[in-house]
Amino acid sequence: MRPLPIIQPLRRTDAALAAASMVSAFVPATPAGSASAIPAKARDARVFHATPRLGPFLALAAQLALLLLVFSLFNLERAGFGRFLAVVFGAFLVHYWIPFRFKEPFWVAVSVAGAFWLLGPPVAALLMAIGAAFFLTLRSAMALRWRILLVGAVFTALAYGRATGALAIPSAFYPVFGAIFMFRIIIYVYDLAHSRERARLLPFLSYFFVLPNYYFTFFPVIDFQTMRRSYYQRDIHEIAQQGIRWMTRGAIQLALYRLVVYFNDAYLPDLVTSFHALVSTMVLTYLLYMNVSGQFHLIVGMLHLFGYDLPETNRRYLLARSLTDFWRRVNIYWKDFMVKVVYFPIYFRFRKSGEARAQVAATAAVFVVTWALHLYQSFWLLGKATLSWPDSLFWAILGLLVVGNTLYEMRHKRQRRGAGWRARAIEAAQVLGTFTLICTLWSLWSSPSVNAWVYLMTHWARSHG
Amino acid sequence: MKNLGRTKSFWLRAVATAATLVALAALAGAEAPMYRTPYGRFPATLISVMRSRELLDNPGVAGYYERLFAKTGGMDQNYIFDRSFRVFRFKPNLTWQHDLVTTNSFGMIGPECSLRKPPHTRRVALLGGSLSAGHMIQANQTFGALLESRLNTMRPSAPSQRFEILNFACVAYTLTQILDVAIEDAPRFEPDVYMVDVNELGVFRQWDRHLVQVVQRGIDPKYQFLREVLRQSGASAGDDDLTLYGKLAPYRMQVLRETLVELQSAVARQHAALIVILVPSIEAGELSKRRVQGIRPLLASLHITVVDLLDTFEGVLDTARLAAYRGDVHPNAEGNAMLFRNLYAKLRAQPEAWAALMGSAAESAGSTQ
Repeated sequence: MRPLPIIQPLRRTDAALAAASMVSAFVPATPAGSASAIPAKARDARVFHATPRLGPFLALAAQLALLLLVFSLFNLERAGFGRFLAVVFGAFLVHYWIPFRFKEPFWVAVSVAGAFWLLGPPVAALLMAIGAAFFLTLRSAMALRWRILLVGAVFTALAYGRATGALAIPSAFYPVFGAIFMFRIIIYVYDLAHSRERARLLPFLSYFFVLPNYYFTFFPVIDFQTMRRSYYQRDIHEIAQQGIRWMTRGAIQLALYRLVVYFNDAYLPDLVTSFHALVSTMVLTYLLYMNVSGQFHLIVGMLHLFGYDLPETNRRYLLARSLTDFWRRVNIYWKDFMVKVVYFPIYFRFRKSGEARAQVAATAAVFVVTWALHLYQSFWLLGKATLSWPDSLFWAILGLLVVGNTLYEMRHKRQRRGAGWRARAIEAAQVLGTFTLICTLWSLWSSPSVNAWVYLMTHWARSHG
Repeated sequence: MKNLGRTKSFWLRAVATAATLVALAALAGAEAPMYRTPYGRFPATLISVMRSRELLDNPGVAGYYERLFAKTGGMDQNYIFDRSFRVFRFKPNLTWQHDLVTTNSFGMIGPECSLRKPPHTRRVALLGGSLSAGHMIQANQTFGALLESRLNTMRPSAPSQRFEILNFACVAYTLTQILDVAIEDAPRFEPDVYMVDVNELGVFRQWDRHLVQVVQRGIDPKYQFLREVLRQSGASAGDDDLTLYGKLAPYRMQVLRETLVELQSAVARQHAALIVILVPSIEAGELSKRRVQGIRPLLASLHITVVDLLDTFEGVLDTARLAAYRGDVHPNAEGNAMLFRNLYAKLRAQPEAWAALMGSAAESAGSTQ
C-alpha cells in the first residue's frame, strides 16, 4: 500500500488501529472509572508506569527548578507566567506522589481551580456552565444529530454574542471559550460519533479544561483519542523527562523569537530598499513562527508532567525537503486533525474512483477547510474574521503546490535516500528550495494586502531605479 | 536489561537537559559583565533582547500570528471621542487613577492654568504622546514638569522671568494629531515655544494609526496634504485596519515631511520657536533609537532645531527598572528624571536650542510687558 502523501507518519494500518482503539478513548484513564472497559493488563501497565521513585523524582524536580529559574531570568512570556508555571510545577510535585487512581481527578481539580484563578470567577463559571451543558448534551440518549445540533446552537448563539456584543457576557470569555472548544469539540464529537461508548465526565474534563489553556489561548489541537491512549503509556519518568526537554526547547525558541522580532523590526516596507533587506525580512518573518512552536513545546511539555505522553507538535520544520514535508512538520497536531476529520473521510469516499483522484480531492479539501478554520479561529480569538486576499492566496497556493507534490510523488516513486555527497547536495538543495518558497509564501500571508506585498517585493528595485 | 537501558537513557537525558538549563542561566548572568568589556557590548545587547518582555507587546512586528496574539486595550472612558479630526482627546478635569493621569479644566495634563499668559512669563507648549503626558506617573514627575521646575529655580534668563510648561500631550497621539493641537489648541495660550516630542509611535510602524481611524470613521482629513495622500493611497472607509496600514505604508515619509512643514509654518505664524525633542521609550537594545533615528535627516533638511534624547538610557543594561511596569515601554519617574536631566543638559549645550527656549532679550522684554 502506497503511503498517503500528506499524512506520511500515519499509515492506513495505523488508522485502522486508531479506529479499533477508538472505543477505549471514551473510558476514563483511571481504573476506577470503568474497570470493565480497560483490559486489566493495560490498567496494570499504567499503574506500573506511575510507580514513584525518589531518585528520578529528585532529578525531575531539580530540572523544573532550573527551568523556573531560566524562565524568570529571561522574563519569558507575559506578566504572571512565572506564577502560573510555579503552580503547574507545584501540582506536578503533588501529582507525582498520589495514588494512580487519584492522579487524573487531581489534575482536573487543579485545572478547574486554575480557571477561577487565571480567568476570574465570572468567566470561569460561565465556561464551566457551558462545558457542563455540552457534556450533558453529548452524553444524553438523544440521536447524535440532535446532540450535535444542540451543541451547534450554543456555538451559534455565542458566535452571535461575539460578533455583536449583544449578550451580557464578559468580552474576556469569548477568546478563552474559542481556545478551549472551537476545534477540540469537533474532534471530540467526531470520536464520539465513531465510538459505542457514551461520553464520560473525567475524560471530558481532562480534555477540555486543561490548565495551560487558560494562559495560552493559542493552543495545539490535541487529539482526544491520542490523549487518552497515551496516558501513562510509558514510564512517567521518561514521559516527564521528555516534557522537560521540550519545555527547555520551547524556552530557547521563545528567547530566540525575541531576537527575530528585534532584527525584523528595522524593516518597515518603505525601508526595504535593498535585496539584502528584502531577503532578511522575508526570512525573519517566517522565523516569527518560533513563537508558536515555542509555546506549543511548552504546553505539551507541561502535559507530559501529568502523564499525557503526547507527540511532538512541530518537528524541524525549517529543514523540510518539500512542501508536503513542510505540511507534515510545521504543525503536526493540525495536520493530524485535518487528516482525521477531512482527509480520511474524503479519501475513503473517493477511493473507488481512483487513488489519484481520492488523494487530490482529500488534499484539496484539507486546504480549503484549513483556510476556513483559520478564519473561524480569528473570529473567536479576535472577534472578527476578515476575508483577505493574502490569506486566501496563501492557502490556495500552498494547497495547489501540495496537491502537485502529491501527484509528483505518486508518479515518481520515492527512492531511498543515498549517502554520498551528491545525495546530500540534492537534499540540501531541496531544503533550501522549500525554505525559499515558504519564506515567499509566508511573507504574502503576513502582508496586509496583495498590493502591500507587491510593494514590499519590488520597493528595493524601484528605490535603485 | 531493557529497564537498565531505559534508566540509563533517562539519566543521560536528565543530565543533558539540566546542563542546557544551567548554560542558559549562565548566559543570562553573563549579560552584565559582558556589557562592560570592549567587545562584549553587542552580544550583551542580544542577551538583553532575549530577556526583554517589552518586545512581546511591542507593535513592531506584523506576522500573521502576532496579529492573532495582539492585545487590545480599552481606554474609552478617559477620552472624549468625537468626529473631530483628532478623533479623541482627554476629558477635562480627569482623575484617572489607574494611569495616574490628571487633567485640568482644559483637558491638559497637570495643574490648572490661565488662558492668558501671565506677565513675566515665558510659556512653552509641550506637545506629544504618552511619553510626554506621563504614563503611570504623577503629572509633577514628567520630564516636562521637572524642566519647568528647574527653569523656575535657576531663572536663567532673568530673575523676574518665570517659565510655564503647558503639557498638551495626549496618550496615543501621533504626529498628525500633534499638528492639530499645535494649530487649534496651543495658540490660545500664547506660547513662546513649541516643544514637540517626536517618538517611535509618531514616526515608525504605527505612524498612521490616527489616519486609519480618520478614514474608518469617515472623518474629513482636514489638511489638504492628508486629503491628497489618502486619495492617492486609495484608502476607503470600508477597508479594515490591516488593509489601510498596507495602503498607507508607502506614504510614511511623505506624510511625516508635510506634517512637519505644516507644523513649522503654524509655529512661525505664532512668532514662536519650534524645538523638536527626540524621545526614547524603554525598549530592548537599540530598538527605540533605531526607530526614531531615521527621522533625523528629514528634520535636518527642514532646519528644525532638534534636541536628541535618544541616548538617555544608553549604558543602562537593565532598562526594565526604568519602565512604568515590567513589560511597558513608558519611562517611570526615574526614567523621566533621566530624560529631564539629559534634556536640560542638551538644551544648555546647544546654543540654538537654548536661545529658542529662552528667547532673545527683545522677546523677553516684550513678554514682560
